[in-house]
Amino acid sequence: MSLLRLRWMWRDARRRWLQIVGISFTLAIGIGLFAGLSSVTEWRLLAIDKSFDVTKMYDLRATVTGGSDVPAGSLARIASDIDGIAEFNERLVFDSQVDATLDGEELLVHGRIVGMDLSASGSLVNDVYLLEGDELPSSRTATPQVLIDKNFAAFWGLPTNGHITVGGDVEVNYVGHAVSPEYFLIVEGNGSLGKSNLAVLFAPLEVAQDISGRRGAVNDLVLTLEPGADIEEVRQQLVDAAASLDGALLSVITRDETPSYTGLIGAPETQQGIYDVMSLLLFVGAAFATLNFAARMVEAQRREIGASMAIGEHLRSIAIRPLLMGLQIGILGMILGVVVGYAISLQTVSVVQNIERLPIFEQPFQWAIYAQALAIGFAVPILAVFWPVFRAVRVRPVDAIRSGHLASRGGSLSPVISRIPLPGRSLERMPFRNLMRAPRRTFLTLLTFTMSLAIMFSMLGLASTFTTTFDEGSKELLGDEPDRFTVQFDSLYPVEGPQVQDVVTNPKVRLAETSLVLGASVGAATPDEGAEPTRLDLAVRFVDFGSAVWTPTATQGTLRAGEPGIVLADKAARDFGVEVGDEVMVTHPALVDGAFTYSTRTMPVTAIHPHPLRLNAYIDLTQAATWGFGGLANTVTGAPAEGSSLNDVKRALFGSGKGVALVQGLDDSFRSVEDSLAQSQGVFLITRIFVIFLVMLIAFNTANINVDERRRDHATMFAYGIPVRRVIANLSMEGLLMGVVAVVLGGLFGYALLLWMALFLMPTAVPDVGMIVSVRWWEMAASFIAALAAIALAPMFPGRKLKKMFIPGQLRMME
Amino acid sequence: MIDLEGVTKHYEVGPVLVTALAGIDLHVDAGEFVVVLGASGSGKTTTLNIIGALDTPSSGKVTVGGRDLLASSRGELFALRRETVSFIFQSFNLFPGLTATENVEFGMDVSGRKGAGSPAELLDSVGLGHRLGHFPHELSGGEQQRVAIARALATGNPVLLADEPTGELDFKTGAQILELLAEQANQDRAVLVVTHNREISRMADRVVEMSSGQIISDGPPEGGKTPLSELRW
Ligand SMILES: Nc1ncnc2c1ncn2[C@@H]1O[C@H](COP(=O)(O)OP(=O)(O)O)[C@@H](O)[C@H]1O
Ligand SMILES: [Mg+2]
Repeated sequence: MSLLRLRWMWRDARRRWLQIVGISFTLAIGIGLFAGLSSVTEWRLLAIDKSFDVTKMYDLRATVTGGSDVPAGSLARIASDIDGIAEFNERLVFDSQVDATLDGEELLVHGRIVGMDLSASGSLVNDVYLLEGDELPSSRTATPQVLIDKNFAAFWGLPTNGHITVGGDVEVNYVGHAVSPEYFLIVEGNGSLGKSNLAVLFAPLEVAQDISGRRGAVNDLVLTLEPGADIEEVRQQLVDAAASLDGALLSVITRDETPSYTGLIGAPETQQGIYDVMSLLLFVGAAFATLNFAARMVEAQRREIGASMAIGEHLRSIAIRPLLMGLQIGILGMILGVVVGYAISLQTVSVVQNIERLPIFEQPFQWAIYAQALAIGFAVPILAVFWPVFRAVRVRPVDAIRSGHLASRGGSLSPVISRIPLPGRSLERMPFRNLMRAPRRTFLTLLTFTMSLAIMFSMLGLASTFTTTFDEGSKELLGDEPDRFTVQFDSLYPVEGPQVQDVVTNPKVRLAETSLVLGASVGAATPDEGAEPTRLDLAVRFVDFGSAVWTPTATQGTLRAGEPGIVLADKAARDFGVEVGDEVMVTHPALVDGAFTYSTRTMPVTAIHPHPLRLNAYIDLTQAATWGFGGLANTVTGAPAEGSSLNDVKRALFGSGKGVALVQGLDDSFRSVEDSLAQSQGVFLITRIFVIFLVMLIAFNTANINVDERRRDHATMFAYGIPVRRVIANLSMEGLLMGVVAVVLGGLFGYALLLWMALFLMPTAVPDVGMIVSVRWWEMAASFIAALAAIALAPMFPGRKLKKMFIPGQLRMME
Repeated sequence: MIDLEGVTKHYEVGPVLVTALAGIDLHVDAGEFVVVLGASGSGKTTTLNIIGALDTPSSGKVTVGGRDLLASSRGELFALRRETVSFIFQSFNLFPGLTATENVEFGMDVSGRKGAGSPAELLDSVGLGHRLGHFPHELSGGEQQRVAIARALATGNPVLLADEPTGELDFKTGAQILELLAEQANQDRAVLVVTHNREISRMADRVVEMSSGQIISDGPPEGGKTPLSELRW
């Protein structure tokens, strides 16, 4: 390449640097979003693998049911007798209210104390991983020392050392923040507990026994299997072995039935599905934008190319200037793409880590992903310049150098559309005419705007869908009493007994109602032929259907007080494939002669309730007797008495220390599920910001190129005394015309995208929540107006060029 | 109508100072048809641009339509171009997105005057009554220049400035265009036509000849005014 050519290229680049940077940035956003978000998914999958590995999560967990316990060593004995078990750990796990009040900020939450062998010599199934602070001392201390779960500590900003009260009167010191595989992601109690309202404390077994006052007791066993062992067989043997336990029952769950595990394992890939779609769309949008701009820049050089041809230059040396421009865009786009990608990664990681506390989170640079994104990002501008160069060198040189009036213009569509009569003055018609004059170019720009706005629409829509879903859920649970709370007992108690009555008659409590919450496995009684029948573990609540305080809302069917029948969540009914009047098969615990057994019965579906959590099911309180639980309760709902706060109630009930395990707002409990979705929200926000930025960039580039291309038109207008601001207004109008069409198309396309994401993609990520698709139109309108404003204001920037224009210079110019 | 007194114009091209106009005095009245003649680079375009307020002189005094251009604000200069002078360019400079009719309408919209007749009438008067809905690229060069003239006439402005209006046209078409422009002077307009073609200048009442940024002669053409039909170039 000759020096002249290099100098020429340099001059090109200097003249068009703003456009080159603008286009490169557009490309970079596509590259960055794809590479950045995909990297995070890789990191998460890697972190999940390593974290579960290093903490040796259990394959099976056996728990003594009904809140009772067994002597230490008895579970270990069972485990040693069963073939196929590699390692095991006996534990004492119990729930108790925790008072973590810090600096006068009241913090009374549900607590869970996990006691197990934490010494280095232990077998360490389901290990506790210390993130910050000190190891626990090996011997007992005067004040029990524990570790506190990082999720909870981080949410409330607790220091690494602190003091809390367990169960109303036991003083405990925590000396560090730790995580454990069951609590990497906190979704407990059918989703009613999250990082904000579940304080998990890890303690050596004896310390946990001390705190609970259950000396020498255990109630939980975690174990890993030997390679090749049959998990179902071991599970059955564990259940059967419970016979040696003096009336206690063992309920056994696998790792795959543990919410933390399933929530973590499935999430990255499903979310990646959404990311893929978003970044693909952005990529396509950015690609079209690049193609458009590169093509226009080359077209602007058409005459120079024609002149070169006339001089007899080789086609390849003619093509080299535009190609170099494509190269510049490609290279700059790649560099910026890596920067944008990395920034997005870091942002997303911080959001993700707020939800998932994985002890090991490495962030190796994802060469393969970046290579893929960069290859596409590099190819796009190069390919984009080929087409216009090809077109330019194909015309006869005479046509290329011939002056304006003989040069062919416009596409095949333009003669038809552009002749449509328009209202307004000649100047006002120009924007529309200009768009119609170059239909292909307009189409490409429109496509990019539309893609961007569609993504914005779907992101906003998903965010509002989440919010609405949870707002509706809260409304359904709270009824007319926003302060309603739930008191959960640590076991079943007679309704007339002191434990329940203390709560019901407490002066700080009004509107008290007793109820019973039991887990039951539910599925359609006659599942559809051929289809895999869905069975789910639901939280069945026995509530008084005749209550004046609260009953579930029946969106279909009716609540029948005093009659058998189950009220299912809309999502559950859909998943089971049942309607009101159909029957479901319910396998539930039953109390027969004072002993727990399981029993199966069919029940009619009498109504459907609108709560989005499919786990919530309701049966009339009178029917509790048919399951053997007549006159028993494990839950009381109520509202704080006049002049009392929820914290007052918590202190009052909790201080009594008679079987109260948890007091919390009905609303809080449900809200914690929202946490598990917050991460997606964060990513949506990031994407939205980039999309708006992309729209601004495209608008800016379009205006900038328009100003360059129409120098002569503008000079002519100035020669006729049209003020600069009118010309800028016309450019704005041209952008707005496209913007408005893009808003309509982007809205439609975005809505389709939203439906697809909310109704097809999300259910695989969060199957327990029935999304209520909703669009907050004012918010949507505001965002779209902001986008339109960006489009309208874009010509202001190149507008300065217009003000400084030397008019005679441009008038003389041909083409 | 037009008054130039001691107008100079210098351009700085790097370290070199180019003198485009070396001191010009020119007076043109309404109803006059003046041809500015000169070789390429003699300063014709610069003179026209200064009269049309597209460019500012380095020194001297310029009065157009009673307005002192050097004492006028930017806004007033824009207003002058809307209401007093109208340009016709060598390369036509029609708006490619507007039809012939609409380009003429543009001229009308700009000045806000309605007196010149409808766009269709104006196009008819320049012989383009059958090309109303055509876009510029669908018209020949001569036709485009007629549209440009109709657009300038549509403003109803009293000063018409045409820079090499026949430069891209063949003889016959060019002659018709010049005739059209000459007729405008009869409507009490001041019409200035720039050309480097001596033959063309013979059709004018008055020829201002320029060379090296100076006016070297001003008066009737050599050999007197000649009818268009006798001109050949
Ligand atoms: N923008 C400019 N910058 C520098 N020199 C200029 C510029 N415009 C015109 N000139 C110079 O001024 C002189 C007169 O130019 P011009 O009025 O265009 O001549 P004409 O129209 O008679 O051919 C020429 O020497 C030309 O090179
Ligand atoms: Mg000239």
